[in-house]
Amino acid sequence: MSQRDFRSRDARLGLYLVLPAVMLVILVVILPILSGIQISFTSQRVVGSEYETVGLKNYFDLFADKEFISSLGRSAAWVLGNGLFQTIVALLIALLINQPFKGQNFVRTWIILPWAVPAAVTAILWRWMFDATSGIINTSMMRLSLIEKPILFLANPEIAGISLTFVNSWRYVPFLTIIFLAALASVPEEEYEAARVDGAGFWLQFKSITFPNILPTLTVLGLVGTLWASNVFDIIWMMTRGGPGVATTTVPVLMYDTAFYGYNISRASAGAIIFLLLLVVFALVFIFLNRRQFIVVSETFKDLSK
Amino acid sequence: MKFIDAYVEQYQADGEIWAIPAFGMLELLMYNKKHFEEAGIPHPPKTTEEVLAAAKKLTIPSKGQYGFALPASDTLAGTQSIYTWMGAFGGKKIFDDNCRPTVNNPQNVKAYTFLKELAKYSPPDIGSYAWAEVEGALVSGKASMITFKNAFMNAWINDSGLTANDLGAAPIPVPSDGSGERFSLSYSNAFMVMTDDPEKQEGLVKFMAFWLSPEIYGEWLGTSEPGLFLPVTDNAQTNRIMFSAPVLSQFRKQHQMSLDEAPYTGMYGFMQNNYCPTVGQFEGQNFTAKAMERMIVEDISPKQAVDYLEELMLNVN
Repeated sequence: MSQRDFRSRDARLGLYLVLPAVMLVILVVILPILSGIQISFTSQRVVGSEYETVGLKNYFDLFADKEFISSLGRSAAWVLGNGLFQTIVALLIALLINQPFKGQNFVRTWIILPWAVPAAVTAILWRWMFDATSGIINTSMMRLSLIEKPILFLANPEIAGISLTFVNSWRYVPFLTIIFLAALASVPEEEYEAARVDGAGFWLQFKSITFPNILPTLTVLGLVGTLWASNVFDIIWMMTRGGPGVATTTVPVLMYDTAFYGYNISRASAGAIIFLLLLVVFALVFIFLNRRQFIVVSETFKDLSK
Repeated sequence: MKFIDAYVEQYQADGEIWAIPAFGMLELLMYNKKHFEEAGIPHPPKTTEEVLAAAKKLTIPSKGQYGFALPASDTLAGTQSIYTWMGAFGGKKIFDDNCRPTVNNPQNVKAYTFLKELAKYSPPDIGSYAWAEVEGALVSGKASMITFKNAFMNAWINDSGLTANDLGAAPIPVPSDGSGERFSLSYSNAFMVMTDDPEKQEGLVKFMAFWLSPEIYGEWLGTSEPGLFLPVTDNAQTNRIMFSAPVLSQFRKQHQMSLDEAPYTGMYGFMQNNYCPTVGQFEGQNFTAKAMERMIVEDISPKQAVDYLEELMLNVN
């Protein structure tokens, strides 16, 4: 059998192996998106009800809707806040627990725990802790005379977004930390040894060795993290339902509210499609601007699959 | 056997009944009798002025105790509680016969003025309070009064450290100038079967006879979330099986109060003998609660809150 036959057989086998995954993606991602696009051009209010085709009306209405525009701004702030906070904290923790110390393996294993806690449990847990009068945070700070009045973590519109960002980060930082730890493990130790021999301190080692080595990971996380953070719904809905007022109403929260409490599935679909397009554009621009890093990641995967 | 009018009225349109009530739910003024005794308040408030006076007296922040726990969040808890007060102030009708909003009226401005005042005697974070927080506030002793369904008998027994006798229940107070009316939100559930098939219709009749039989109905009312679900027929008001259920039997007085208030209830959007489609958004998007939340969080005036409530109803998209 020639090498070409082998390749062709491998290719066919590969195709068969990915086919179930592709089918699944078509079924649970592509078809719903296509259905969403179709609904967004109609006047349908609830799933299964009668409707008329209204063209781009829902899209024009949304662009004229201050609530939708401001929810886009809040989504951007949410993504930026979560992205920066989570990346910095996770990287710092990863650098810290990457140093040899007693119990390192224990910490590395159990740090993932908050990520494994279901979102509903996380939301209830933090709602209790944030409570103004009986929550552990306010009561502790008041007993220690750190504050005179309780902080309204979820009831003050200026603080609620920060509180949610913190809770969401509490969930995701462990996962990002693990990813960073994996990236740090791939940095050749010899480079650090050589740097130390040359008298390089921690900062110089980080700048010249660690950072360039983890940059591809950081870049991929920048993309994936943005997409994840953009679509966070559970924590926000369960903790504030977008409030107080509209202080934490991001696009997913607004669209859910529009579809299932405002009974306007077509308008919500249009909003979701606009948001999807914005994310796709962001992803394409991000990949283009960071194409070098993505090539490195792609090559790494190729090497691993050999 | 006769259905209680207040429950049937909600399911009428164009002179026809389109659903059969299954069970009711309504709100009462629930209060901690111990707190009242300690504060020297001899009886539960009957007027909204008395509510404010009692709430003021019962608010002792240094003890972590507040006079009232109001759900001022954009939730169904807020919607229902606030609507109950709107009704008590005489603003229960939210649509006219042509389904135009009628909420922008002096009664509702008075109701929101009262609620804004009441918020001063509530825990500071009521902007994030929903059912669990309100119930928890009364049970834990953080709040002395709430407007709530009589639905937390188990929690009261297990977690309050008090007895069933220490839980007070009273009708929703009304303004002393006579401008309001005895009222509570009625949140009943009903059976609907959409069929012309005589066999299925006959099946429904048989099912209803089974459902409303004293043994089945009494057992269900007495044990499913004791106190929350109320009978919708006159003869079930005295159902012995319901009253002898283990938990509910300890709260006979409070439960009787719920039963007595049933005739004075109504459901937003279902009292003008027609059906207004935007009632879905009114409830689903918690318009009354949104207005309340803005009034508390953004400190807008009661009139502005009512203007906003009307604006929300007019701009349903």
